[in-house]
Amino acid sequence: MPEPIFVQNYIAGEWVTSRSTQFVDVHNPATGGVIAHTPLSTTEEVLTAVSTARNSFEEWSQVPPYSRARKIFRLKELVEKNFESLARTIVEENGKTLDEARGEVRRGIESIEFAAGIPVLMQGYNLLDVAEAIDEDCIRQSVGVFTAITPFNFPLMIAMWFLPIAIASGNTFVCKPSEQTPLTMMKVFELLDEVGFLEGVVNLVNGAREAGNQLLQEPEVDGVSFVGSTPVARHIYQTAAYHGKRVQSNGGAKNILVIMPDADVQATTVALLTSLFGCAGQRCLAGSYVLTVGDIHEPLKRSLINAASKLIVGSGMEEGTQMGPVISAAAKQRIIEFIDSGIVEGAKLLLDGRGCTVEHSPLGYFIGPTIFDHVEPEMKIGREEIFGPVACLKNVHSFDEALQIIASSPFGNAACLFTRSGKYAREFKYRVRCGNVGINLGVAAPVASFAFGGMKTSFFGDLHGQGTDSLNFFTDRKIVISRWY
Amino acid sequence: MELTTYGAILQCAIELEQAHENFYQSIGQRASQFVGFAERAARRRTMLERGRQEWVTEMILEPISSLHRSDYEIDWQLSEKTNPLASAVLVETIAIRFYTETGACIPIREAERAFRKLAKEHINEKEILQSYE
Repeated sequence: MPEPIFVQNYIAGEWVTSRSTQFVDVHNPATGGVIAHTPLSTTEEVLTAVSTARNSFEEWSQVPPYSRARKIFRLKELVEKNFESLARTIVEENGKTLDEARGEVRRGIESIEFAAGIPVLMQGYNLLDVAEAIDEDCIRQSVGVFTAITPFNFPLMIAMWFLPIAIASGNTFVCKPSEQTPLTMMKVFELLDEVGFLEGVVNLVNGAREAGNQLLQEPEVDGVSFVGSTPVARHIYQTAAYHGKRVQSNGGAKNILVIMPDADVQATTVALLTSLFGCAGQRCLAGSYVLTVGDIHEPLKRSLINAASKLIVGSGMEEGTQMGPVISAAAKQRIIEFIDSGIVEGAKLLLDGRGCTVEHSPLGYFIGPTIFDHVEPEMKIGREEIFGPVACLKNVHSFDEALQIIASSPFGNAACLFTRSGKYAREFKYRVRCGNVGINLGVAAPVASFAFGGMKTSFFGDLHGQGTDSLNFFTDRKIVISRWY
Repeated sequence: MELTTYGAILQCAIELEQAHENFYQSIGQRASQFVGFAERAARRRTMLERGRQEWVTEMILEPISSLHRSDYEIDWQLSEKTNPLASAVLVETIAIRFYTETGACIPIREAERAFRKLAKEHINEKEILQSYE
């Protein structure tokens, strides 16, 4: 096995070895082996990254949008060229399957492609003669220094929600990836280095909570993007807003999937597998709570257990693997505690993934697909985000009862409906208070040109990531009213 | 081995085209009419490698079942030693079946379309080979 590498920072166009003496081990979740050490960067290093981003802002913001777009196109080319290598790095440090990693890289590229449209996206608008011989213009301008604190579950895609559009619109950027999955962004920064941005436009600092907190309070940082759990998202929002920054802070989820009696059992089962167990349940759009309406419960339950028990769990590097491990030993333990609590609180365990073993990977962090029935919304597994491959089923009497359960959840990230009825589909999309709604689709993930964000405690802020929301987040709109004599 | 994912099917297709390329290069040393077949297999492999990146749709990475790699295996060494033309026809027949059967199971429309096109290309290859008989 190769020696673990020491993760480096990228500041002012240079790779820099952190002077920190504190490190976090990065594990390959499929083997449990240590593959890298993430430095907990020092206060001075974080400060240097921010100040270098500030120093290069003015010059970069004055680079013509077409020239900035050219750099973004070059970045896309390089990511395409290194597609497979990036996907494999994601699998190595995150554990997801190769297909899931390829899907993630593809979505990251889509965000880059969106940002490449900046010469058009950044145009303002105007109206002549708003009053006698007075004209009014709205112009978009870059803001300054932005930072993103990104999670382990999509080490590339989520950073790409923010970085390309931020720099394309003339801002400079400091990225702090999850200390559990720093290698993907190291590779991305190698590509950014190859693109050849002005020194200081893009910076990478590694670390954990302390580095993140410092970025929230740093006066030279103008805006913060975050994706993570709800308690941390709330903290990020409150702290960064207190320090006068614009914030988009994405929190956790407890996504509910409603299955109507007229749903196609076979097609729904396949969609549920992806939603409940894709990325080992470690995604903010993962389905978690399945509400079956009426008499579809038994056939769907049987079909789901049958299909889930056949899922191939293993190392994500194997092409045939359908579900990889969870991120860490601690995550595995936390998920097992959730399963234990479900049993104690009276839910019926139909499929138990706790004893899952994978040949040749005895130390991997594997949990098999797990399915509970009779899960009430008051139970811990019915109300909290598990972030693992655990499906909670409940049979409800009516569509309205299902909507009431969705409405009572503090989360509002995603909800999905499976039906053949257009009437129910419309009612559902109209009435649920969630940022992402799926109809006959288990993973309602907006593409790059649409905003991606939740409601209620799943999101703090107002402008979401992706789409025109992200453009508005990363630019200022200035109104100029003019009269010439 | 079961072909249980989009990636597993694409990997199998890429390896199949690589094997075709090697096979036709090998028999092409004895009969020049096979050289073009090797070139076309190489082009298809490149297209599949690009497609593996471009067609993947993260939202609908649904599990695939009932497909087995062993159903499409070819004894390449034996194929080379026996009558090259007859072997080539057999190789193309298996490729047509592979693309037809696996393409129908991929839940990504773009990939499914590409596999239908590849099946047609292999039908054309087979017809050319049969015209040599």
